[in-house]
Amino acid sequence: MNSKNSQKDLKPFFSLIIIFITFFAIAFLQMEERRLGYQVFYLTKEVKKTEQEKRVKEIELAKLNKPSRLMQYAKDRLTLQKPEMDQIIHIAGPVKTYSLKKRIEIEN
Amino acid sequence: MKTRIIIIFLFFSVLWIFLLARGVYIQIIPNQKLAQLQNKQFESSVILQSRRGNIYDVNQKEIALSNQVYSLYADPKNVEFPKKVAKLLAKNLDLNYEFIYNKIKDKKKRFVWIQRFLDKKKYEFVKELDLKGFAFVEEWKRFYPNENLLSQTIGSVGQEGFGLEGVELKYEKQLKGDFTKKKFRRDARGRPLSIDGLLFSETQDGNDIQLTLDTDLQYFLQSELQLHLEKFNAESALGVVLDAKTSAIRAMVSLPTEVNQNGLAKRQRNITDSFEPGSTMKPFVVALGLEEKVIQANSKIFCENGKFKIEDRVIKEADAHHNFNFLSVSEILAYSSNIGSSKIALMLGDEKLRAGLSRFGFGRKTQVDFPGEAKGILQETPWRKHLLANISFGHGISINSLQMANAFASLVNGGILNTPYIVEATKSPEASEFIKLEHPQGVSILSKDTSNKLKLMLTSVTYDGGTGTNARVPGFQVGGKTGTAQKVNPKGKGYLPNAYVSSFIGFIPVHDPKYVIYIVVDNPKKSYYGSQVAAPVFSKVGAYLARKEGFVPSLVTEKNLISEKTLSDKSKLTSVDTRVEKIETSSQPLTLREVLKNHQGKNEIEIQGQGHLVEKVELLEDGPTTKVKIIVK
Repeated sequence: MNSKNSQKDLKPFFSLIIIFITFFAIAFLQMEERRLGYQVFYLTKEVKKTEQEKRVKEIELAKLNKPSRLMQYAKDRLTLQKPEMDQIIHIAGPVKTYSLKKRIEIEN
Repeated sequence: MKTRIIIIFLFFSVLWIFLLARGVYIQIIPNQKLAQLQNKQFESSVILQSRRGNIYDVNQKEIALSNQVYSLYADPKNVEFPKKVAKLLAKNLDLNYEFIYNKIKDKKKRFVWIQRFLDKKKYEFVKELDLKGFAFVEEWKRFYPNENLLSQTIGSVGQEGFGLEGVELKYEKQLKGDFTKKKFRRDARGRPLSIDGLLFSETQDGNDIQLTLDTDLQYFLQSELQLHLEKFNAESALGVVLDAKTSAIRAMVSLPTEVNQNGLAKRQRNITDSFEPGSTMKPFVVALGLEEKVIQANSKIFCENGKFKIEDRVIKEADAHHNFNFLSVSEILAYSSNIGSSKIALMLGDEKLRAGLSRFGFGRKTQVDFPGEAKGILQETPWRKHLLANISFGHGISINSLQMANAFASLVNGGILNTPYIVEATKSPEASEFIKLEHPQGVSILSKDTSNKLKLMLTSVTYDGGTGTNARVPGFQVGGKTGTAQKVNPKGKGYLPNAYVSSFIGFIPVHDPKYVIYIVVDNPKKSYYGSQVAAPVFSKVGAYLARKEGFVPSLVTEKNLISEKTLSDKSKLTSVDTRVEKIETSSQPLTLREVLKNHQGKNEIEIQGQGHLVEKVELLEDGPTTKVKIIVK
């Protein structure tokens, strides 16, 4: 009889604890949501920065690969010359040219 | 006393109830106006500009790319010490002091641009200064790595990011993407209160575009044309390379590329300008003659010994020494006889000739996917006889060079007139592969039989005695036609004295034409015949294409089998081989890189075979030098 009474007395206490825990859980989850939000925000910024750097590198690579620069490099640094018509021997076999990016993709 | 206490209690109770009711009204009952006020306090909106799509060539080499840069603006109301700041910025941004000061001195203004699209160095400098009243805006800037190589075709983009000319203008819708305006809440430190990571990445970027143009071919054509422009002291030059079967534009050059003293604008004149083509029109007249059966392939036409009177005019051959008697149809093309082509045109009559030329696309736009196309002039009939004769050799008619190349392609590809195009495929930001665009199917305008006959006849132009011998490509049969037209006076009637438009149009290889190449040199001063000025450019570009595409040589010459130099080098090598002094051996197979590291810069190196592992290294003593022969497997 006594234990039944004590259980009855404890019920409101448990109810209050459950309510408090629920409130705390809600508050914690909201804080966690906010924290993750900030983390995503910083990561988004990082991704944006990396993409930006990638684009800069792509532009630089494209500039380095432009035909006029390659021609100049071949002439000045490698001391190559354009062949005269009578120096060219035509042999069969297609020569396909790709961008550096495409070549890396193919080789991989 | 008690009554007073009750009254005061009631008064405060009512006051509290009123306050509570107001609180409930504000906090619980939805109110749009209040919600707006609240949002205004916490929310920020930002316009996210989409990235403009990239442009690639046929081999996916980058032609136009976009990147984010920073633009500096000021809020003059918040600027402190404007004179001092203007001086500092002027010095470091390469701007005029007055220019900056005038912009920031007016405190009533709240937004003024100081400089758009700052480079990284300038941006970092201004950012470090942390000036009050100054801030940056992120903007997309267009970069063209090849500078002016394709500038007239690609066009340009304005400061606000919209295409102004060329492909950038024509494909604006596909390239530009969507601008999006985003609203989000910020915390006290200005950070967005959002867990939506897609906030900054969900903008719809523009589609990438792949062109039919080949950057390497474009460069080759441009550099060869530039050489000839200078060599012959010409005013300008044009060049088009078309895929003979599909009319995909592989290269398109218009020189000069900059606005020059002659007032030639920076536009793609292959499409936007028209001119009288001269004798390159003759193959079309012959084709129509054959198609309408007014002539046969073996017909002989009397060429009046060099002087042909039509009405009150006399038609002469281009070369005063030419006084032909009877010429076959092939010879009319090979020797470029004005009288011969006039006679065929007269046999056809104005209606048939006009209808035929119209079928080839003259006098109307080709519908190429490029803005500002000139349609040229093909006059309405009836034509007087001398006009009919003039049109047969390319006077009294005007064309743009793309139109001519496209029509010529139909002559040699079996009679199919295609719509030329410059954009091959597009790719959306989400896709990994380019998707080919569908182009209208070609229309058959000529029988295959006539086309085959024309191919053979045009080949005769490059044979000995023909006008196009300078267009020959060693190892290959090529066909084509020279053109030398008097230049029309742009400011009045008639023609300019001693001013010509020299041209050559041809195809390679003859039996299965893959490319049509059209070269036009405007007003060359040192020589003016198409055969001397334009044909050599065709020869070089044709040879380049043959190498690039790996065409199998059709003309077997000793040089094609083995060159003299190779022969002499071979015999030399054989004699050296007998004097092998030492063979380097190793228990472990060496890589080519390791062997090269030992010998590069010290000895002359010859590498035989393919692979990266070295099978044998032979040291050959040849007088004072040592030759190293590396055999790889």
